[in-house]
Amino acid sequence: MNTWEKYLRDNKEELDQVELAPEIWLNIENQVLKEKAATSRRLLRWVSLAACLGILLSFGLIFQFSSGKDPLHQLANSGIDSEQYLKEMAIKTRKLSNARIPMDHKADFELLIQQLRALDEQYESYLDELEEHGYQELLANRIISYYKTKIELLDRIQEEIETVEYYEKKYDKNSLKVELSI
Amino acid sequence: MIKIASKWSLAFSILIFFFLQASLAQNEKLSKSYQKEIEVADFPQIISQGFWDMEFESHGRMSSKRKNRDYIMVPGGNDDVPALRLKEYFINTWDKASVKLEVEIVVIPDKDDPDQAQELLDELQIELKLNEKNEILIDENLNMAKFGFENGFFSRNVNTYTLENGKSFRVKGLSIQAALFIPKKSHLYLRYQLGYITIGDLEGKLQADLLSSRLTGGRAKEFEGRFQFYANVQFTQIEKASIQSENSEFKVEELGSLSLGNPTQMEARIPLLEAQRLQRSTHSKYYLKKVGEIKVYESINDKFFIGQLGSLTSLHSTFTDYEIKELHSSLKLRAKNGDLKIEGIKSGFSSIEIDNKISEIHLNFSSLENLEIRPFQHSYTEYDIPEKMKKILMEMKTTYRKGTSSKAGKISLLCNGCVLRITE
Repeated sequence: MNTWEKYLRDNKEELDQVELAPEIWLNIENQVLKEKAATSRRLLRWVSLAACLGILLSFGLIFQFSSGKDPLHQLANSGIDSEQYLKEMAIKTRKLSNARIPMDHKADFELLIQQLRALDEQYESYLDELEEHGYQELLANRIISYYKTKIELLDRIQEEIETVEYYEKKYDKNSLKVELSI
Repeated sequence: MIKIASKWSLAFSILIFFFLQASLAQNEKLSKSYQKEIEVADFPQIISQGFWDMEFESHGRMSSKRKNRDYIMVPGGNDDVPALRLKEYFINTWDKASVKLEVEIVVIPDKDDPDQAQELLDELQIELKLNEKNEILIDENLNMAKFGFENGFFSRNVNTYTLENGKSFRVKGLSIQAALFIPKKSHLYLRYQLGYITIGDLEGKLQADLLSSRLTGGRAKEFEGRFQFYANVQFTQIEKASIQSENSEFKVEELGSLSLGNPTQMEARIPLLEAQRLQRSTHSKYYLKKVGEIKVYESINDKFFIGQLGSLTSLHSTFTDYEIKELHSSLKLRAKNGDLKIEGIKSGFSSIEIDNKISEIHLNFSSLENLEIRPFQHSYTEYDIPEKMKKILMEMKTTYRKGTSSKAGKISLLCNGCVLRITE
């Protein structure tokens, strides 16, 4: 038996009567609770971080998968700058959509607008096929042809409107005008 | 040290060798040629509908491209072995009174079941059938009825060819090369998409229904063509052609006569894409080096580039431009919003009648010796007429004349909103 054990045995009764002050217990309890809370917070923090990473990863995968299927993205990956063509077409179309033409020319212009629609229908079918089956060089070539043909056609419509307008102004015809409805 | 290194490099080379051998063995090709020849009467009617006449089923990703003149389809996209390779289709003509079809099929076995490739080759049969109208049906697909592929994120490509008897075969790749031999006097109906076709001289009638295809030919007596979306047709010589076209190109060195947008053309045949608009010619380009006569029934936004032209009659032409190098005989143009430019009108031409609206007309004459221009009605039209032409009044109308009236080539104009330039 060592000295310490001997001391405890000799003073047992005295020591059993000693009680810690309640505030000390409270402090100890608080300390324990604080440590527990800190551990839970740390755990929660890690779980949240993992969840965030998981969500980010899922979003990334979804984005990657969906953008991989997106026809324009596929074309861009193969070096075809659709954005540039689409932008140019949008500018030209916007300009034409504001145009007004003499009513007696409406039926003629409608023929060109029908051609635009036929081209667009074909383009939509190309995009659907790209989305369904993935990138195809042959389709991509046709899409480029579509862009060029459509721009050419929009230019032609614009040119014709300007010619009609020239005669309207030059001879002060004051014809009844209607919207082109492009 | 050097000895160890050389041992390692030897071992590595052997490994590479075996790896290459293994991958080559995997893509080992099997091939078989099929031939069938039948005797036919004079002027046989022949129908050839090309590969896409068979059913096609796709599940998954694929890529398609053109390599040289072959159409190639690679399902899955990453596999470099085409599941389908359509080689250029050759249609040869000969003096024999028989029709012969030669097809060469090359198959790459599927590694999961390599025997199926040989089984497919053994089951394929060549036939030249007759339909109820006694027309000879050419089936370059032999007795294959369906081609399908399937692939996915977790599965590799499975390409299946199914025969008419329902038997299916899995192969990694298949290539078809077909050659047809027909009598020169045959009448041939050709329905084709996505392919290249070369045809020899034909004395019978050739009807071609083409979608995104290229047809190259020599001489044809009578040609009816229906072209859709980027079809490209080139011939050396055609006696008589009738065309309906959409977004396509037609190029002929020497053409007897051309009829464009004739609604009665090819009525009995169903177009590849059903479209009413196809009865006319729209948004197409015509390159004709030498042409006798052109009749345009309906043309919208086409472009003509003509070398030598005998005569042209256009009944309905809107937004279509004509560029003619030489006009020899006559021109009758009823058009709207389309420009006309003739670089050389030969002396001795008979007449030019223009009924147009909103256009630029430039007529350049090789000589202004005998000419009479009668602008019947000319609202909002700007004229540029050479000073040496005498302005006279005939039947209460202003007329410009040079030379004697009886010999003069006559030009009559009905134009609203035009710029007219006459030059010599």
